[in-house]
Amino acid sequence: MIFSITIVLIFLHTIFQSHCDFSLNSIRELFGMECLEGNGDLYSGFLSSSFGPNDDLLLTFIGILLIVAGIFIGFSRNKEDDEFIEQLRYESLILSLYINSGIMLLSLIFVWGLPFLWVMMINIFSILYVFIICFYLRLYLNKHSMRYEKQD
Amino acid sequence: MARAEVNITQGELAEKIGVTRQAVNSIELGKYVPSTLLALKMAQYFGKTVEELFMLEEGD
Repeated sequence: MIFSITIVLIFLHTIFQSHCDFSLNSIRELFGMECLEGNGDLYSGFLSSSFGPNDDLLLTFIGILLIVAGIFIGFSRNKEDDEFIEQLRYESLILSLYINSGIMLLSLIFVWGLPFLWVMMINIFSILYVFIICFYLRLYLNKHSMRYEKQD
Repeated sequence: MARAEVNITQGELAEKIGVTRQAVNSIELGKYVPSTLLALKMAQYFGKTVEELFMLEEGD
């Protein structure tokens, strides 16, 4: 449910990206970040391109929802849940940590410069969603492999 | 296998001891080692001791 709301919000955000009213300008003024912009230092381009006034609170909201939705999807009890499923969940969590670390290592080696910022942004959610994919894939494979066992 | 002696299906056994059929299936295939609690429940259901149902294998 939360996940679907998040997907809708992301969709809306992509459509109305330039027309959003939630501006971070007031917050930026509050923290005195205005002074960092436009004076030609290292941060000026970074701030104005990635977290500048064009950005909005909706992105923060989407981020929060993505994490909360991910936790609900990954860790809430299923309709059929027992210690075997729990075990599967823990194993998937460890597996996802390995996969995510592998991806991060490759990204560290092959991605340079500003695109690495994208890697870091994706990395905020990737471990949770790699875990969800691992868990449901293993659950599916487990259910599927039972068909080939001898039926009583 | 004790289940064959009693002549019940994996699904029925799973329902009786309160786990999923996948769990029973995996235990029978040796893919999953049940907790002490589940092993005791199974033993109680079959009227046997845990040692009669489960045993150590080489390398355990």
